Formats: sequence, structure tokens, C-alpha cells
Amino acid sequence: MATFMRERRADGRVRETQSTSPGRAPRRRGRFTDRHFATLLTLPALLTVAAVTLVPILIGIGYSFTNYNTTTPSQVRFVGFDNYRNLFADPDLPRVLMTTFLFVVLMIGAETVLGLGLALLLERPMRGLAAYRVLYTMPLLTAGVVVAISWRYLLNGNFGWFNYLLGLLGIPGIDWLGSSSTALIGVVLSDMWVGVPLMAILLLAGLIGLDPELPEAAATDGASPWQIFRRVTLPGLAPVLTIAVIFRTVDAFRKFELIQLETTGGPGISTKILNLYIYQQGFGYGRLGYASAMSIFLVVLMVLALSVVFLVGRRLR
Amino acid sequence: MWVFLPFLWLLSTAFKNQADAFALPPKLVFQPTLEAFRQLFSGPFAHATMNSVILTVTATGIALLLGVPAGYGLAIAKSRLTVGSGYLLLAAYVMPGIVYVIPMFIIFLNVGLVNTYVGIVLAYETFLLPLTAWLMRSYFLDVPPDLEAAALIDGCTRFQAFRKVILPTALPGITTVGLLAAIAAWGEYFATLIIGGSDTYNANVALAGLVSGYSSSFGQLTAGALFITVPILVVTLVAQRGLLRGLTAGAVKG
Repeated sequence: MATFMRERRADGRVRETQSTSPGRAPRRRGRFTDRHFATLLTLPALLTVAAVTLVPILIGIGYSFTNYNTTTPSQVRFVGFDNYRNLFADPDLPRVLMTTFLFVVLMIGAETVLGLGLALLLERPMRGLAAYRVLYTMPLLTAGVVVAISWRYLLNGNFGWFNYLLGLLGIPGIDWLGSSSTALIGVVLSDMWVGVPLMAILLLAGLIGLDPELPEAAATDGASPWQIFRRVTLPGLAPVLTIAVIFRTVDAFRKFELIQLETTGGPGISTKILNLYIYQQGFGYGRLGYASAMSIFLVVLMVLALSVVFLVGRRLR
Repeated sequence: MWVFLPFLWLLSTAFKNQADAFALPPKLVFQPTLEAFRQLFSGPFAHATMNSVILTVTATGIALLLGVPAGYGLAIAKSRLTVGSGYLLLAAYVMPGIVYVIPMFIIFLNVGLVNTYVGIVLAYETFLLPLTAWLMRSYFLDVPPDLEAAALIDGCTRFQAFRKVILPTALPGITTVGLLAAIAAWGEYFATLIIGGSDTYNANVALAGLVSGYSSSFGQLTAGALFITVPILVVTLVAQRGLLRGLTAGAVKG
């Protein structure tokens, strides 16, 4: 016979745990403690994911010390840190890193500000809120290739609808993706179609979870709307905001088809972010050893960026 | 309005003839034609669509089979090992695809898995399985623990309790997560482009192949994009509430 004990977990949930009464029959087969049962359920997924990610990444680190090239796969040689040395001597790299930095900052900045604004607008009681929320999930669920193709032509200087609409507002059209000075902005504009609604949905969920009495109390105490936002709303929203920005940062570093299909990194190398550069070096020129080294570098950069997001997020609270 | 812009453009351009497609201001009244769809499906896009279906169904099936139990394991986890393995899954999900796809391509080249369904599905599981497990975790956290306790009192083993009591309760969650995983698989491009080949490319890669400076394939391009998008829009409208919950769950609960 089993008895049940209640215990309160760290997160406040109450769980039943099972223990056998003293002096009774030994534990039956097939009965597990919580710990073993949880591990057993998680194990198949964990092993599979380890096999398809961890193992390749370790092998990839190995290949980053070789001269692996798809044209001469039989002549793989250990070359020590040559790939890493070449990486820092690569004449295109400073420009690529600058583009990557600009892309990440512009994209996250624009999407966060506009997404937050949209979320604050939607937070007011209004009709059709549910419809808006469904509408805003659509860009996120649309295939990346479709987003890229649509915006490639919407932003076209000659027949693009986007410029036509700008024209109606009296703003002269630009061949966004055709000029090296505006192409990156064009790419960010396309990405905002997905990112701004996503940000808005996530932040709206965060806003709804906040205590509605706090801003009211602050208002009675004579705080200005900006003070309420800065001192009450933003700190409360900080955890969700941090996670939303992390989502977008991770996405920015792996952005591929949007830029590949809109500009293939051009004109020149004006929209070539690191992820795209690695792909072109690895699968365009076959330099997979070099590309492996660069992909490790990409992860290091991403972890650095995420650390910055964490630190900023903590200061907001 | 802004959200609708690309959809409107696709919808109108796919049914227009070449001259109307480029007209500005956009022609709102035109003679609709199915010519673009006819041309599109007489090309490699038809086979690629079938590949999309096969890859999406297989990859989502495997992700649910392994990811749903894992989600429950993560939800009830107490030991440091299980909690830690949850973070390992998260780290795998966050990793940019290029990091594992390069070595995976070299390995698959050696064992003959390049341009096979098996190879592509394995590449999909790198993000689908962590996604499924973590989303399911958030659903299982809402299942009252008393439910399992009651089943155990009634004489179920823990496996039986999971299979016969917990799983049916979580069915709406499983459906939602399955749909989200399927949408992610359906829209995948990068891994398919690298691991796949002309026999196994999905509709996205086939569609991207139509992008070129020439206007000859403009109608086909929009017709294909529309064809890829419509199933997702239908699913979104039918399952709207659940999908929204699934999308925000990860962020709000952490």
C-alpha cells in the first residue's frame, strides 16, 4: 500500500509524492520515484537532440581546425588555428561584422519600440482585440521564403506597392533594395512585418499580467504618464520584454532566407550579415573548414549579445 | 492594413496576367487567370509540394512522439539532471542552424544521407523537438498534480497514469503544439536547402528557385507563395485561440 505525502515545491505548486509505508512489501517493479520517472520521460528526446545538435557541433569544432573543402574532401588536413587566424585577417570581415551589428541593433530597436507602442495601444479596452491578436500571429506563422519574396517585390523601386503607398502620402519612392545605402533599411523594414506584431503580442500578454492598480495608485500620487510608464509599467514588463528581445536577438543572428532572397547580401556586400557570409563561404566556395570556424565565432558573438540583453533587462527592473 | 499588404499583393498578383501584375496603381479589377497555377504545377513545384507534406508529417510526428513525454518530464522535474537537460534542449533550440548544419552536411555526405528524407527530418528535429518539449512543458504545468495522484491511488502505474489520465487532459495542448511544429516544419528553408537535393527539396526551396531577375516566372512565384501560405492561414483561423496561447506561453511563464 502506498501513502501520499504533500509537499510544496519551490514554485509554490503542491505535488503528491509517493512513499511506501514502513514494514510493507518492497517496492513493486514499475514504480519509480518522481526523479526517475521524469528522467525516463525526458531521456529519448534528450538523446535525440544531443545526437543531432551536440554531436555535430563537437564534430564541427573539430572541422574548424581543418582545411575541409567540398572540392577536395579526400585531402582533409589538420591546420591548427589557421582558420581562426584567417578569419581575423579576412578583408571583408570588418564590413560584415559592422553590417551584422547594424542589422541586429536596427531590427531590435525598431521592433521593440514599435511593438511596445502597439501593445500599449491595444491594452486599452477596445472592441475586436481578439481579432487583432489573431491577425498579428499571421506574419510570424508565414513561411520565411514567402515573407522574403513578397517584400522583395513590395519594396521594388519601379512597381512595388510599398513605394506606391508612400507616394500617396507624398513621400517619394526609393529603390530600397537596389542601393547599397538603403538596402539594409529595406531588409529591416521587411523583417519588421514579422517582428513588430510578434513583439506586440508578447508584450501585450505581459501587460495584461501586470497589476492594474499600481499605475492608478501612482496616478493618484501625482505621477506623470511618463513617470508611470518609466517607474511602474516598464519595470513590471521587464521580464517579458527581456525574453521577447532575446527571441528577436536569436532570430536576428540566424536570419537567412530574408536577406538571401531579397539581396543575396548585396548590393556589393551592404547587407551581408555574418550568417549569410558563412553560408556563402561554406556552400558557395566549399570552404567548410573555414565556415566551421566562422560559425563558432558567430555563436560567441550571439552569446555576447544575449549577455548584453540580460544585463540591460536586469537594470530596467 | 499593414499586415494584409503582402497577402493582398500575393492574392491579386497570382491571378493576374503579366501586364496587369506590374501595373501601378494596382489594378483592382482584372480578368483573373489560373494560368500561373497551371504553369507552376507542371514544373518541379508539384513534386516539391509532396516532399513538403512528407517531411512535415514525419518530422512533426517524431517531434510529438518524443517531445510530449519529455514535456511532462520537464514539468514534473525535480532532479538537477532533468532540469539541466531542459536547458540543454533550450540551448540547442537557440543555436543558429548553420552551426550544426555544416558538420551535419559533412557527416551525411559520408553516410549517404544527403538528399534523403531521413537526413532532412533529422535536421528538422534539431529545432522541432526542443520546441515541442518546451511548449508541452508549459501545458503540463497547468495539469493539476492531484489528477496523477488520484490515478495512482486507483492502482495505475506512473506510466499508466501518464498515458490514460494525463495525456487525454493535455490533448488540446498537444494539438496546438503539433500545429505549431507542423507550421515550423512547413516553412523550413535553410536546412532543406543544404541537406536536401533535387529529389527531396520542399516547396519553399522550389519557390526560392523561381526568384530571378526575369519576369517570366512572376505569376508562378506569387502563385507558389500563395499556395504555401493558404494552409497556414486556414489552420491559424481555425485554431486561433490555442495558437496564440502557445506562442505567448513560453515568454510569459519563462
